[in-house]
Amino acid sequence: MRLRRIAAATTAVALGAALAACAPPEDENENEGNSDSGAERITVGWNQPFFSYNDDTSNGNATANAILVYLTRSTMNFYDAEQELQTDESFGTYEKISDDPLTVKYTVADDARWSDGTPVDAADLLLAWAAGSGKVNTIEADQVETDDNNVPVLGEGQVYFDSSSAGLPLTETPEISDDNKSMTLTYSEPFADWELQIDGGGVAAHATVMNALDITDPMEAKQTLIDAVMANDATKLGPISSFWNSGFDFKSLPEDESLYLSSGAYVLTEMEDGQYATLEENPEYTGDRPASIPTVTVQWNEDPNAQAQQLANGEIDLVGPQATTDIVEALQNIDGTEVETGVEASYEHVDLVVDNGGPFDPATYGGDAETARTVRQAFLTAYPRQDIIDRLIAPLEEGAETRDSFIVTPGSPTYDEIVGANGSDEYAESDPAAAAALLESVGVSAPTVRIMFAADNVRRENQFEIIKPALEEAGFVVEDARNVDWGSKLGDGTYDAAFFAWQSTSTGVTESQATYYTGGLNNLTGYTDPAMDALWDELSVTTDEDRQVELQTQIDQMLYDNAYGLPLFQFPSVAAWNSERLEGVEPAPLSPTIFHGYWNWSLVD
Amino acid sequence: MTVETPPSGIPEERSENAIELKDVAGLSQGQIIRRRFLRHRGAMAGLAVIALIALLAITSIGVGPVPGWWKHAPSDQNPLVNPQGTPTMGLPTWLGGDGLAFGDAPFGQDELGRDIFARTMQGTQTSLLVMIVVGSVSALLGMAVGALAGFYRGATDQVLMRLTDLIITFPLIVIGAVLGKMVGAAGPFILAVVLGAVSWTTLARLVRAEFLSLREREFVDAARVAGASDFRIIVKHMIPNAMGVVIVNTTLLMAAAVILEASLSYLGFGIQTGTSLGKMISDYEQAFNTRPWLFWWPGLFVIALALSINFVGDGLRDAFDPRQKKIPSARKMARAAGRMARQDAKATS
Amino acid sequence: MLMFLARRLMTSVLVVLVSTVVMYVLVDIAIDPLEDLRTDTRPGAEDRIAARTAMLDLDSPVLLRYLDWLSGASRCLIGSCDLGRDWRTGTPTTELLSGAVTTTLQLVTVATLLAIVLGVFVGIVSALRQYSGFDYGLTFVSFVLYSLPTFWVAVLLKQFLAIKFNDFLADPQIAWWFHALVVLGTATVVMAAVGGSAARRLRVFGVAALVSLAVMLYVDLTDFLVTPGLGIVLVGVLGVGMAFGITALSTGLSDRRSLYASLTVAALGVALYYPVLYLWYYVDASWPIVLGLGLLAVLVGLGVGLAWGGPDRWTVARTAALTALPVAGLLFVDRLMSSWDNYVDHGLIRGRPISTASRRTPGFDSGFWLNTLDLFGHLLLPTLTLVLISFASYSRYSRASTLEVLGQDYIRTARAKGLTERTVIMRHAFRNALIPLASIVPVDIITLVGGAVITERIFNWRGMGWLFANYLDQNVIDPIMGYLLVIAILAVVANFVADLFYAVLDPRIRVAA
Repeated sequence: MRLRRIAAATTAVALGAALAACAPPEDENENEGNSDSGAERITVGWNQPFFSYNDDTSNGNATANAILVYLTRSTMNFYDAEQELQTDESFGTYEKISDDPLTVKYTVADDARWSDGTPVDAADLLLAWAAGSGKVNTIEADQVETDDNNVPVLGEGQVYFDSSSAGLPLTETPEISDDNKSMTLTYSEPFADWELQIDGGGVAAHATVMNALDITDPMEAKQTLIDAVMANDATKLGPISSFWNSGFDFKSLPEDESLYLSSGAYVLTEMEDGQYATLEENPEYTGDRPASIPTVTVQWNEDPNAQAQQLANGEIDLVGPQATTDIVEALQNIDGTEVETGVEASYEHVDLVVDNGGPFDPATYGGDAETARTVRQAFLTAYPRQDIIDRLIAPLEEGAETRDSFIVTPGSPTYDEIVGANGSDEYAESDPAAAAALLESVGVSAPTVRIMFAADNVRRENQFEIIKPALEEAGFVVEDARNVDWGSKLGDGTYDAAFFAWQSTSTGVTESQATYYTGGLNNLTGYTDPAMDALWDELSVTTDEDRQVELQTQIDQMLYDNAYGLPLFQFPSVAAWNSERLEGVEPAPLSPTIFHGYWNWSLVD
Repeated sequence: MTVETPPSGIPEERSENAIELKDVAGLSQGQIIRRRFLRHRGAMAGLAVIALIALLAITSIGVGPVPGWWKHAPSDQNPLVNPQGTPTMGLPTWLGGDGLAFGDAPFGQDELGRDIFARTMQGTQTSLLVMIVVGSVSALLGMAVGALAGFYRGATDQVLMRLTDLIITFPLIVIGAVLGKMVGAAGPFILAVVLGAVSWTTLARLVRAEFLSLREREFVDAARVAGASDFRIIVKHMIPNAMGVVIVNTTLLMAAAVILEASLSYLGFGIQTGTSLGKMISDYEQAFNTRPWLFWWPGLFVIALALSINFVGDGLRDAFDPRQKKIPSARKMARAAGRMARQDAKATS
Repeated sequence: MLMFLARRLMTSVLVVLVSTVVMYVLVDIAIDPLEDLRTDTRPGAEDRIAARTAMLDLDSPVLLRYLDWLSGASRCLIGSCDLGRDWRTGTPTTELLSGAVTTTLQLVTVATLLAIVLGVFVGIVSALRQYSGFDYGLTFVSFVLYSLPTFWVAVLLKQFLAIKFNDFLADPQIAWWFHALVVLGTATVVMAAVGGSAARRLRVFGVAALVSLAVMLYVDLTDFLVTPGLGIVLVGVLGVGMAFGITALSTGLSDRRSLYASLTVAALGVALYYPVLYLWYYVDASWPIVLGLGLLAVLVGLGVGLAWGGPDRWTVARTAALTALPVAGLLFVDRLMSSWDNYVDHGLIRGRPISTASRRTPGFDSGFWLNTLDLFGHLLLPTLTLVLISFASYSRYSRASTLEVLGQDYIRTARAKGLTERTVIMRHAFRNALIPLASIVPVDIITLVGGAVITERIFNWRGMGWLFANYLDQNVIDPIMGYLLVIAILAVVANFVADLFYAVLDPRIRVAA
């Protein structure tokens, strides 16, 4: 009985073994799935997830969007690493055909195509013009109702493109050439930064119109747009503007491919909400800035330390986290990693709010502007700028210095000249005693100052710790108004002073006009000075460089004289990449920072 | 409730306990417990560590306006003693250091020159405060709820136990995050009170179970016959008998509270003003590779605190509840069993 | 029973309802959707506040808004959930949750399984060796694990277990002292765990040291860390070992039928080694197939056991089935290991298999085996973080309940009857010690899901915990409520399951209808 069972079991096993034996053991041919081997792909770490494919709207205007747009949409010009403007004639050309009146002719290259095969042409430029100039808007910015994403909600027949531009409002409705490849723009007055107004890098016109008006033929859509703009047809432009404002907002890849058409080297192929996006070489692209690495993945992670660890672990190949002493040092300690420190275009500054009934508002002193100015001066005199640099910035960036101009960046050719004459030396050293004397001179005692800054940022917490004792010594009562949502609170009047950073996106002379001009988009302090507004007006139409410097010096001087606030320091930046894998990285101070010059990237064998 | 758990009975004396019984003959219950506790080496070590840490934290930087003996206050900004703020504490030479030294900044300094020792001590004070407040609030609430539910049973029990179920529905850290977001800005004390107000549930359940069995005991009847009020019976007669459960669980809860506070601070829903160990860790997470002292010291103090309280709790449990003890000697019994088993085996083969 | 279920269902619904009301009110107090507008002094601030108030209906009492939310949520019952949306981006909560729930479940399931198996095993062993060095060591270790702040440990794990380990993999040279340390350490732990007389301890120590030395040498000589794999020989050796081990625990080695049945299963495993490799060669693997084959293995085990028969054929069948599962597992692991070097050499992995963040390698899709390895590489650290914590509590629980059970009269009776120690422990003590655990596990899973709030944040996993923390930060109530609803339902179900377990396992408890 028992023997039989053992025999049976042995037979079964032997049978199995025999079966196995007649099947020779090879295999080990990994059934590779469908995708690439990964050798031709790099992963770039970035902190903030993408959320809109249209980075020309005021809502979508963020570096997180701009970096992907940079990879997917060609432009006629771009900044190189030295902040010099370069042109890309393979995509299109522009030329100034007349100085008086200023006339610019844009021509799109013949073989420039969107990734769906539709040619890029004047209709795309025209849409950018219509959006930027505001000429076809039927309502003003302050009449627009927005929903809570700051996206305008338009009524019947209303047209509103949620965008702004300094130069385009000065232009007439452009002329379109017969072959639809050129657009000619005529300015009503000279404009200094005319080169920066239109670059052909906006969203696709036909995609916008097709989606807004339910048109299926791309060429018909383009023509509809041209006709509508020329005829200023609000019934058509209303839906178009509405779609332009919010139709391109997405966080994971939409099913409709027309929402992410590419005219550049890469095209989006995958996007997981908040996790990563994958871009692949655009087969339709024939221009001069082609993809040198077939696939680029952008992976999002908010935590700089986690990013550094990801780089150390080879999960990402290139990263540009916010530079802190610890991060820079940690990156330098990673083997096989190249680290480049420098300055970013962003700079830290302190703003004083003058329209909120606080200590810096003339209204507090019965409209006595002079008293308010003196209180502001006292505040800034006590502000320990040098101390902040020495203790927080110098450790990461050798030879770090304070930034001494509101409107020009250190390193630019005119910086030294302007700084020498703008009166910034008055605030070179923190002097609490002098500040106390200033306060006393106008009879203001112990004014309370609510200082707002980012609550979750150690560097800003440290800055606050440094300035607090100095200001208290001068007689100010410092109230800690740190906030996690500081960004959305800017300009809301709940604080009297705030320190945060401005990020420049170009080097145009009118770049910072919106910050200081009365009612400007970035004027968050309520600062108003008609004399200075006049200077800005003049500057924006001045093309003579010497005169530009003169005007810039005057503006800077006025800002210092009126104790507007203080520029503090240029942000130190750091970029690090896996040099055993990737070369040719050339981070730029301006957006798109680490992505700059992607066509020069190459994989190390 | 349709499912009843068996009442946890009072341990019966077992013959294995004979030696122990001889050991404690003539001692009162309290004395026995104290003795067992004092003999628990882990608990004693834990208690010593907590006492040391508390003493250090309180005397070094002082409390409130009273200054301590340490030369730096937590928010003072001093010049850096060593480049980068490296700790000045040196190991003795026989440990491979440069000789035992404390120096001006034994735990190092941050980039502002603030003394990490002083800051760690301040964070420890916060943690101790949170620990004690959470412990007392939840002990009081847990005792009250458990006692009322167990004593009155019926509708009172139903209402209170359903309330408990409700709170247990969500993980503590989730409720804590919501409440922390609500009151985090109000400082550590308020936060601790609020956290205590939601962490009493386990204790309440245990006290209730204890009360359910205690109320059937003769001494309760005796007290009632003697005309004692319900309040008096609960407070004077029953609670002292349930104290073991309360003390043990409160201790463990206090350890959890230290970690909870640190975790909430890390998530950004904890204490927003002032220093806490959790906030220090989360602020200097980046520095752990480059300036490890900013990351390690607060972390080590969190661990030391939680660890020693856990040990004290373990000792208390052994002292109050000897059911888990295989007295006199586990090995002896195992050996005896083994002998018997071998003899059995021999006999059968 | 039906009455019990119905009543239970009703109370559960009530608990979910009331807990969501309470949390809705609490969250509503905690967050301030107007935070950024509240003290806005710009012109038009009133309008903006009014617009948002109207959009979020902030003027109506919180309970009315709750009812509004509830009416949307209750439509889940008819299959069209409306849990509101994240009003900042307009994404519906259901959409946010759907991805997050799978992510979290993936994380928590693996962690729970591992923690239970390890924790219960270690806890019981330490109870059996109470007050031994092993017990004290374990107590200390579990208290340390209890006391570790997750986020603090996670940073260290990333550094040492991911970055340093990957570095090490590039050139896996193990120092001799490390070998010595591992060998002596393993031997000491095993010796302490097994216990016994001095001579027995010495013997155990020697055997354990030899075995671990052999394993280390094998690892070293075969470059196991670079090209892992079991091969048919190891599958055979391990399979036979398992057959012996499982039989010993299940019925005792003296039950020859069980032993032979298990050994047959192990032998079948060896015999099927190559055919299974063939199967994978021709069939594209997927989880359903793998799990189906696992089930098939159990059935085959049952069949083999029944074929061996005997008077207690079902006991034999059970043992054989219990052996079949891990043997099948060996085949699976072996196949997975054979893909290891393909995975490590993959262009997206480049020799660094252990990852520090996110749920999977972006854009990685190379078939079942590599994807599974990728998943494991990403799961490792977060799972470990979660396991560290719940392992401690499981080992403490099972130690305590085993001790309690060992003191019971029926254990004494069992011993007095002359049952072997194995029977006493396995048949009487082990099962009864599991009863209280069965009621703790479901509840503990809730705690673990809660713990995932921190773990997901650190490891950048966009799961439910991440969702909760993120939206609490951003003052958006609907996704928070979506999370809480899922948790509440999970908690109710878990409690229900715990009670059922209790009723099934402990005959003293009867379901009162």
